Amino acid sequence: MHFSRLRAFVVLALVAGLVRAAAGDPSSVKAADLVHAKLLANTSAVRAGQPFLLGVLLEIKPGWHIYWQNPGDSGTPTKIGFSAPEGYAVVPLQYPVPQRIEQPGNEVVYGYTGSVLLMAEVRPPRGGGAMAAARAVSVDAVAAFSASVSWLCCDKLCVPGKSECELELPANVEPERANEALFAEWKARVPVPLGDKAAGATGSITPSLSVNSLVFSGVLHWDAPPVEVQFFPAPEDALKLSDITVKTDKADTQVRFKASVLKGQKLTGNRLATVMAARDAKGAWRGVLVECPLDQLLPK
Amino acid sequence: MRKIVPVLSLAALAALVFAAWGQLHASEAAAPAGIGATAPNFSLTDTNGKKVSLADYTGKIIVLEWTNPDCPFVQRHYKEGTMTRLAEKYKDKGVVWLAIDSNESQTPNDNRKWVTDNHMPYPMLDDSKSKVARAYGAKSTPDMFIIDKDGKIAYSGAIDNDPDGEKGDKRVNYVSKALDELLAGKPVSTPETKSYGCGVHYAD
Repeated sequence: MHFSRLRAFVVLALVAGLVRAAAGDPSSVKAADLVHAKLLANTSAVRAGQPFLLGVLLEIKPGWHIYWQNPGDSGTPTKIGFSAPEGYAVVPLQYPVPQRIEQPGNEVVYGYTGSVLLMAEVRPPRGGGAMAAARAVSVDAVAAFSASVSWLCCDKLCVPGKSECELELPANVEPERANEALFAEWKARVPVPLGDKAAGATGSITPSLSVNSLVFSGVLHWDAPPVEVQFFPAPEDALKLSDITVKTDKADTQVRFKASVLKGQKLTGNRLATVMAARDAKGAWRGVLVECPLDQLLPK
Repeated sequence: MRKIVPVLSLAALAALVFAAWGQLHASEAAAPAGIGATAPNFSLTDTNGKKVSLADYTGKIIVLEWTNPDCPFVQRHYKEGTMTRLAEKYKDKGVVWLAIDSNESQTPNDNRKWVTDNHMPYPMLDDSKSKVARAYGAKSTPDMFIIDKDGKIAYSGAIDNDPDGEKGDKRVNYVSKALDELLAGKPVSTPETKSYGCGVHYAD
């Protein structure tokens, strides 16, 4: 695929690392020492019309963390983009439920420690037709995928990093499941939209207008009483959230928060994505994605 | 006897008011100061050992820049001269600029070298106990606060709208925008933005 670009990228990253080290960076910590990225699939081969999952596994040095789409009080979000051959549809999945990381000074960030698998669903084109015929003529019956990821990895220091990963899957052999346990574990942590049967909860969070803010309140009824509940909002920068309260009693979680547009700023979207996460007795986290409407805050 | 009673009542009333006011202030002190609030005073030492107090600059427009030389966001801005050039530009207009390092594990020698290497035209203050950070609610580096001539917080948030440093011409520097408005006697149109950067490493 784009090997020359990859090479240039690697060279750039190496040079950047060298410059930083030469500049007397106190720890001379290199991004590659902190986060290792690898592109994987849950299948050993691709087959026409058969969807599968791609995922970048990020393995993070112990004691360090990277960030969720909303990093929280500091940090920057981990960003990812996937590429596939022409005709393949790629839909990135939601970020898995993050961890709430508390730091001194009442700082709260949302992110990942240990490892995280950021996934996308891939739909190969259906067999037959001119496109398939043209592809059959190509030298190797192989489909090449790539992902580019960027992150900020912090402990007491912060080190930005990025990686371009590639994966080739054969297209002319019988596909077999691969990396099943890994993909299953992380798929289970991807938030499911409220209203979906697999959400694991029912309920609603609704807004009421209060002067220039929206007060959201609601209850989520979990299928099973959770051991712990966390609330992860992902507001855009122009939106400020305050007075957040989350109270769980057996299988019911009451949530309430206020949302207002920062003075002088404009909302670019009409939805606030929030994730309500629950941990079960086995320690497994699942999430419910609740999109809160902001229409009442938009200029008329 | 009749004359004493009203005086006692007044004293009792005053005591009650004072107690209530004390309570109010206690709860305000717990939460960090927000937009429109009086900027908390502080007294910190700069890299030359000189004591610098906010009260030294009463009546001036003051910019507080939370900083950390180890933070890649700060490093990028200092390479581009974002803060140093702004400080220099507004110095002639009477704006005071103070950099504050609230990280628990800061090294005075490194900070001294940072100030020299970057030709910083403003002091860098040692808040290693993170007390001033707590008073202002500074969460990241860089985190910017602007105090108006009346000693009220007029701006709190990011230096600009460009965390990744890729917006080029489209970059908006919130601090220079706010300073221009304050110097023209206008209200700050964007008083609060979400900061970006590395977390401040608070002392426990």
